[in-house]
Amino acid sequence: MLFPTSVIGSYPKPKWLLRTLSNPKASKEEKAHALDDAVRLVIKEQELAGVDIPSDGEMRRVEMTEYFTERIGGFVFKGPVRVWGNNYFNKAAVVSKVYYKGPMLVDEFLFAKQSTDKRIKVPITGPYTIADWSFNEFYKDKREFALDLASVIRQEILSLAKVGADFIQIDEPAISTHPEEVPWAIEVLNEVVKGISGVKFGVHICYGNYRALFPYILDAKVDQFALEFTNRRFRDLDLLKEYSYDKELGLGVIDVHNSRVETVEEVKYGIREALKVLAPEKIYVNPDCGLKLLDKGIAFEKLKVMVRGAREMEAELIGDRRGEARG
Amino acid sequence: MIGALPPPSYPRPYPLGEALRKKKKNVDSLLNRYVSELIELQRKASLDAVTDGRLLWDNVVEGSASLLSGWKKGDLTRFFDNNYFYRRPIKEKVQPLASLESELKYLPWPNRLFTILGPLSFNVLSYDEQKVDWDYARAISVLNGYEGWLAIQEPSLLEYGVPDDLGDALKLFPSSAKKLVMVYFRPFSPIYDKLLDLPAEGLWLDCVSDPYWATTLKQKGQKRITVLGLIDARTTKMERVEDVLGHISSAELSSEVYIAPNWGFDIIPYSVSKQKTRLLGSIKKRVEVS
Repeated sequence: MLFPTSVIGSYPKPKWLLRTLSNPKASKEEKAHALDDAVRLVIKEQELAGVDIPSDGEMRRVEMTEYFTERIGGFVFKGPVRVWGNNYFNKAAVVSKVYYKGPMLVDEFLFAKQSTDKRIKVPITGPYTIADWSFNEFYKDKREFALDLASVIRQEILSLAKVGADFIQIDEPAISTHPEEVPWAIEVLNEVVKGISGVKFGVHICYGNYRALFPYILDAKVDQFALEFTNRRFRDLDLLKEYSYDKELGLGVIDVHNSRVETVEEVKYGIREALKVLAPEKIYVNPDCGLKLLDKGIAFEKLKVMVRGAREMEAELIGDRRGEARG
Repeated sequence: MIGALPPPSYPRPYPLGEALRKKKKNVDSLLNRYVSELIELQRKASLDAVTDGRLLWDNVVEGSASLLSGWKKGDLTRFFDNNYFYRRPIKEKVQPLASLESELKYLPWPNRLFTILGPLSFNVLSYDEQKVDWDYARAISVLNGYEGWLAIQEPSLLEYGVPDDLGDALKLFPSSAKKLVMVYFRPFSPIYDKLLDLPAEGLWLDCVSDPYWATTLKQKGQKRITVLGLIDARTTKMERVEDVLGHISSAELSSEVYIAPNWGFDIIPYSVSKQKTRLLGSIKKRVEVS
């Protein structure tokens, strides 16, 4: 199959779920049932849209670093901070050496797995991003902090691999924001995945300076980088050519911060642009980033368009190849 | 003399953000409450200027653009290396808006502090063009008649250097204001000579990001006003008063000097921003005593 489609991870939470979770009268069991129902719903929606590799929509997570800093030892929360507009996250400070308290995503993965026959992608926030998006009140420097976190995240990945997770995406959006730190950030990433077999590793990076990633990401011991391209009008694809990038690419073809639904032609344009620099077998198709801030209906429509674009491009390419074979 | 200045902006408190997001009716009352709280906080800390915190500005880029007409919101873009984003303003035909009065309604005093992006940084952060935006500089006539402190944020100077025509552009900023050119997130020492030549009353320097700041100031002298950004606006870790006092004495300062955060408090929790404001007050008191 060419151009398998996937998501980055998060999906808009249903309004009824948010109401239940914020209802002080709802019991723990009611909230747990609502979360289970929401996971089944969003996986089914991704299936209906035609997505090949869905996620559980990160229904059980509030925010991509908050979820982990709440479950890793050594952190305390300092209060909400704004990321953009009126979107906040509860930002933690590290106040002692970090340590693994136990599985964080295993139950989430097992539930998602039993809710679909499709392969599930499990996103997990990487050590560099957790370090960069936390306040450091303990470690001498960020590198030491990130290395300790790498060992924690590695333990979680080993737990996930043990129960059958075979596509894990390490989210590292912060990695491109400090160019001088990219070389050691990739070393930290490699510490996370070192020697783990039987798992496809992706890395998601968005909204930063992609030029700063090169050539270092070529040394990352992972299979795929899922990058944001629509928001930056596909202009950074040239970097892949410049550096002879040969890993798989998760090509972002959907703008997640714009409620306008892309056209199928726009999706196909993005894939065509990627084909100028990469073999079709290397291209996965996904949105630029998580979909959670979109209206749920719009997110669904965007995924449908994304899948249609990918399938039409696949058909065109296969048609071309058949034509070439006949000719 | 050594005084203390507040940050140019404070974090938008979560309840206010929620009210704005949900378009609730209590936005105005929450805004009044938090601005009053911040003003009271700065006064109690005996700071030498007072800001309203710019709580309704999503960030300094869009906030500065909001003083002008003729632009629309573009891509979501990271603000330097922070987990903090803004919509890139897309210029159409930039014109000043009619009046700054509504912006300053909470700050009727002469010791107020207002902030705006400088004409180089506005261009870099909106269109990625590394030159002075003269349309923007001319539109800054919106500030004509403004009296008080004016922190002109020019972080891009530390990335791209000082353009030859920046001085001329800064002359368009109101002469009635006490203008401080503010640079942050990188060491300022390499371009300090050029910063000294800019037509402004003072410089607001990020000392947190520059390990050589004290040596630079000692060797090269200072402008009439020097604002030392010694309080790290990007961490919850609280500075020790003794450490800050030690830094100040090591620099052998001669001009009018103020201690301040190195940037706005936008990305620390509101409660921590209040603690850091009190810390500024404590440092000022200790300096006065010593």
